[in-house]
This record gives sequence, structure tokens and C-alpha cells, in this order.
Amino acid sequence: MPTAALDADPDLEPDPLFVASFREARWILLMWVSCFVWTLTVCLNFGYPETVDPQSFPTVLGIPAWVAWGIAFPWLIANVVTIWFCLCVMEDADLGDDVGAAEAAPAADSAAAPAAGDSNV
Amino acid sequence: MFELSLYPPTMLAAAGSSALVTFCLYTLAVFGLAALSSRLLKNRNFLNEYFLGSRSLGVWALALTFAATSASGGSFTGFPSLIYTHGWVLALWIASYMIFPICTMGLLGKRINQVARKTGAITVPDILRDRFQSASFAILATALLVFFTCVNLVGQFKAGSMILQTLLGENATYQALRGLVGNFMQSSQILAGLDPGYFLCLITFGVAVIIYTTWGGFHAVVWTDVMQGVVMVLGVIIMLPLAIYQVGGLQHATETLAQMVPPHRAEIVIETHLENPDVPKGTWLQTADSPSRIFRIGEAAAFNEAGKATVSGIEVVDAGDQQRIRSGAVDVSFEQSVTIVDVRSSTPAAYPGDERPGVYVTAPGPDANKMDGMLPMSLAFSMFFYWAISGTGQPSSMVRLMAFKDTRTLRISIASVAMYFSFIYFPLVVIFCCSRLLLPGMEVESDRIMPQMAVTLTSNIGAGWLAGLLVAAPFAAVMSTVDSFLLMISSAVVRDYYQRNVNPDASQRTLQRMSYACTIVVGVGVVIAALNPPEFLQYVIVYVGSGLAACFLAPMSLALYWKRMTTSGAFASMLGGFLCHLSLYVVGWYRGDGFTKPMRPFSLDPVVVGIVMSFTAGIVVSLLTPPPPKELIEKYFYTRRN
Repeated sequence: MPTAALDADPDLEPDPLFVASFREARWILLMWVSCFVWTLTVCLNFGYPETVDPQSFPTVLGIPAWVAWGIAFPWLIANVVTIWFCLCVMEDADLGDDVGAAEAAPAADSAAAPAAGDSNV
Repeated sequence: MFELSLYPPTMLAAAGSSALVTFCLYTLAVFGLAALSSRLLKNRNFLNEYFLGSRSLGVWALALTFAATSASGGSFTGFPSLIYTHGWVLALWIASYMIFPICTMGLLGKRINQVARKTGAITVPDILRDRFQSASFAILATALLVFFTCVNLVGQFKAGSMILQTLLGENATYQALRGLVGNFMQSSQILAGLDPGYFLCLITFGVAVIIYTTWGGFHAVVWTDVMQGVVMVLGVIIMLPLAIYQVGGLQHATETLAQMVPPHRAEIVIETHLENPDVPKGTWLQTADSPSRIFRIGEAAAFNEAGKATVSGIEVVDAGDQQRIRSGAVDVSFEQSVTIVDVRSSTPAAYPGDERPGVYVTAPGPDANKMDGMLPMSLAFSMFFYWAISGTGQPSSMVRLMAFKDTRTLRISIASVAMYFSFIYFPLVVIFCCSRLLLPGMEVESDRIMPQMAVTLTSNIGAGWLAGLLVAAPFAAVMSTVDSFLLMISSAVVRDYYQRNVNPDASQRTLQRMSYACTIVVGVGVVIAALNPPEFLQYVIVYVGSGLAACFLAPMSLALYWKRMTTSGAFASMLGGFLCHLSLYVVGWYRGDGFTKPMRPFSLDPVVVGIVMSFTAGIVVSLLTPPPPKELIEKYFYTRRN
């Protein structure tokens, strides 16, 4: 298995950006699951009534209560968490050099250098 | 509170004039941006600049181009139409937009940008080709990308033309041009059957988009996206307080909605004694008895020699709407020269069949045709999955993620897009729930609710000129999607097919000419296809969006994050997602439900099933085949210690 050999190579280490991205992706999926569970739990329990009494229909600031607590409120929380996550949790990292940019052509009719990776195919 | 009103033709004409001025200014601005960005093409690698903007997008450019491209014409035409028709349940339908930005930009963003830089990739198939070392796989990805995107573009061009028609409406200049074009079309065998208004607007829209996209490339698209994104959010921010104020507050609007019942679908026989009767779609009629029954017709009446016609439409049965119409609270004008001689049918909505109140403020929402309502519980589950997760798999989003300049840009852009979408989608639900009180009977032409609401809200405060800006929002939404898709197809053909497979040594000048030619040819081809778009095109667009996600999400995610993913696994993943998704539509078609009702195993939408199948096939086949070469894993997942 190549991965085991690579892990054992003292000259190599897992790409830090890959490791950080993977960790952040798991947190993002957890955020999606949290929103999913909250919204569907509230909305499926309170948003699908058998009958409605129009005279006493519950609202919050003019919004139907099931929408306010099941969608508007978690939406607000999701925004706060998203902003916090982006500003405080996500790590900055060097994205590396752009191989494509190095191919800048000095003359309009000069031949383009093969893009990186072409030799792989 | 302002008096609720439908607007008279003079207002429509004024709105049409302001829309025409707005459109002209807007087009000039777009061309100015294209000219500026074309200057950037000099002295840079042409393909990298033309298709990816040399990976230099800053915070606002990335945030607004991502947001504007994601919000297609549907956000400002189809979505408002659905809110008007089904009520507050649309908040649940769109709810996963609360997590959409962090999912669609955060899950793949950093990693896809890093890999693209590392390999010099300019397009999505570029990345896949290098990661899996397979030209065949890249060609498969290119073919699927071009197929799905072209089909989508036909729908977007149609939407662009229809929105432009609505914008210009009764404008005298437009009507005169429409007449001229109509006369020309009469003399042409190919064009004789087409609507001259649709044709004129399609050509105008198509020419404008093709020219500025071809001329300016990626930077023109991004800069116009920024402008369009600002127009869109301004439109919503202006409309929201106007709508709430004019219905007497949101509390009053929701309480009134809670008492409403949906209109009946009706078929009536009408009669007139006029010689050349013109009874267009949207005409209001009432019966002679007291109290009268109120109808609005949903198609232009075609009278026979006896002066009679059978037309379909709706019957307003809600007591509140009837009272508002009869008391003049809403300015509904009944056509007096036409009488109703027979009501052949007046059928309640399929849901709720018993006409109980409260359906506009609860789920699943009323539906004229579906017995289980607009959004049954199982579909609510699928929709939450659909927006956020399948949105991550859209190649047009991936391309933008390959173009930002550093990770700080990405982080701040995600936060900005989260705020941006909060200012767009939830307010739209509020605005168009309010619209039910201001504009009764719009079920017969609900796709026009956005521009009509804009005209009504601005006319009521004596600022008809503002309608031009508001109705530019849906137009901007379509344009920003179309230009991005056009460029994506062009890049797929020139970069992924021509340069990578046919002529790797092509000169910059050749590639430049190829790119310009390809953008023009694809644009013209789509315009021609849009002359006669299939009627079920909206459903085709839904199929395309979910199909792209079923094809690309799993291969790209696994390529970026799973070392063990193999070329065979990538083929299995892409083909598995595509075929599974397609087969559910084919089975629906075979069962006689047409293209609009695909098979839904366990009540799950095809996109959910397709994505699950794509991930499963990719993982299983990868595990059954030899692992990728060590050098490849090292290149993508390891770095050398300093």
C-alpha cells in the first residue's frame, strides 16, 4: 500500500493544507447536519398541523411561529456560526505557486508551453 | 396604508420606459466592463486569464460572482412565483440556504484551489485529468459538462428573453420594434410561427451576452457579476419595507393569509357581441347573479363564429379576496363587453381538497395538482439536501473556487455570501407572501409576479421610475448565470478537448481565436435552440442542476480528499451517478408520468439517490482495484519536510 510507505518516509509529511481542509470539511458537514436536524425536527413537528385556527394562529414578529423557530432562528445562528468559523477557525495557508501563470506568453504567436500534468497523460 | 391596486396601462407604460432606460444604461455598463477586462488579456497567459482571471479574485469579486452565478433567473422568477402560489412553506423549501455558503465554498474551496495551482488546471476536467491521469476520463467529464450546461443555457436564454419582454411591456418603442419584427417574420418560413416579442428579446439578450462574454472573458463575467449582484440585493432591500408597509404590517399579512383559501381551477364559456373581440389572458370576469362569482381567465379567448369561447382560468373563492375586489380595495377592472354564459367546472385545489383555511401559512402548502400538497415531509428532507449538498457539486461553482487569490479571500467571501443570501432569500419569502394581498388572481400568470410586484410597490409611492431598477434584478440574475455557463462550455472545448487532445502545441494566438470563436458559436447555437424551447424546459433545468451534482460531486470530493481513489473508481463514480439519476427520470417517463415526475425511491429525490450511488460506486470500485501510484499520492497529499 503506497500510503503506508509514504507515511513512513521521514522526508515527507502530510500536506498541511490537505490536513486542515479535511478537518474543516468535517466541521462543515457537522454544521450541515445540525441545521438539518434542527430545521426538520421543528418544522416537521409544528409546521404540518392537521387543522389551523386562523383566529389564534401563532406568530413571532408576524412570521408563522414554526417558520420563526424552525427556519429564521437557525438561519440567524447559522450565519453567526459561519462568520465565526470563517474568521476564527479556518486557517490561512499558502496555496502554492500557480503553474499556469508561469506559462505567460511574451509574444502573441509563440507556442504555449504544455500545461503541468500533460506529461501524465 | 396605501390603497391596494393593480396598475393601469399608463403605469405599465411608464414602468416599461424606465425599464428600457435601465436596460440601456445597464448594457452600456456591461460593455464598459468588458472593454476594461479585455485590456487585461494582453501580456498574460491567454487561457489562464481568459477562463480563470489569472487566479486573482479578491474578496468582493469572489463573493459576488459566486453569489450571482448561484442565483440564476429562477431566484427572481420561478421562486417568487412559487411563494405566491404556495405561501410560507417556501421558507422550508429554501431553508438549506442558511448553510449553503459554508458548504458550497468551504467544503472544497481551499483544496480545489491548491490542486488547481499545483497542476496548472484551468477547468474542472483539467483537475480530474491530472488527478486520475486519464485523458478518457477528462473527455467523459467534458462531454457531460458540455451536454448539461448547453441544455441549461437554452432554458436560461428563454428566461432572459421572457424577463426582458416583461420589463419592456407596454413601452412604445419596444411595441413599434415588435411590430416591425413581426412583419419581417411573416415573410420568413422558418420564423413565421414564433412570437415576435419573444424573438426580438431573445436576439437582443443573446447578442448582448455573447459580445461581452466573448470580448472580456472571465474578468468581464466576474465584474458584471459584481454589478449584477449589487443590483439583485438592492432590489430586494428596497422591496421588503415597501411590501410590508403597503400590506399594513407583516402581522396583518400573515393573519390574513391564515384565513385564505386557494382559488378553484375553472372552465367557463363566455360570449361577446363585439366584431373583433380581444380578450387577453388575465382578463377579469364576473357572473350576472348576485353576489357574483369572480373569475380570471388564464388564456386568450378564441371566439367562434357565434361569438362564444371556452376558456380556462381560476375562480376567486376566498371571501377576503372577494370582499377586497368588490369594495375596490384592489383595483380590479371587470371586462363588461363579455358575459359568462356557463361555468362548466370549478374545481378546488387537489390540496387541500376541503378548502380549509390556513394552508398558506403551514406546510405542505396548497397545490392545484398534487394530493399531498406542495412540499410533503419526504420532499422537505430532499430539498434540504438538494440546495446545500448538490450545490457543492456544481462545476460553475468549482471554477470560481479555482480563481481566488488566497485563503483569506475565501474565508471573508464565505462570510460575505452568508450575509448576502440572508438578505436575498428569506426577504423574498416575506415580500411575495405579502404579494398575495396586493395582487389577487395572479395564479394565471404567476411567473410575472416579480415585475408586477415591483411596478405595484413603486407606483403606490409615486416612484414608478424605481421599477426599472427593481425589475433589473431578475434580468441581472439570468445574465450572471448565462455568461458564466457560456465561458465554462468554451473553456471545456478549447482547453479540455482542443489543447489537451488535438493540438497541445497550439500558439497563444490560435487558442485566442479558438476561444472567441467557440464562445460565439456556442452562444449562437443556444440562441437558435432557444427559438423553440421545449415546454417542459423548467423541469429540464432541474434535471440538469441535479444531474451535474450527481456526476461531479463525488468524483471531485474523493479526488481531493481520498488517497485511495483510483481512475476506475472515478469512472464508476461519474457514470454511476449519471446513469442512476438518468434512469430514475427514464422510469418516470416510461410509467407515463412524463419528464416532470421522476421515480422517487423511498420518496427521495433523484439527486439524493444519484449522489449516494455515485459515492458508493466510487468507493467500492476504488477498493476493488489497485491503489494509485505512489508518485501520484505523494504529489497530491504530501509535501517534503523543510
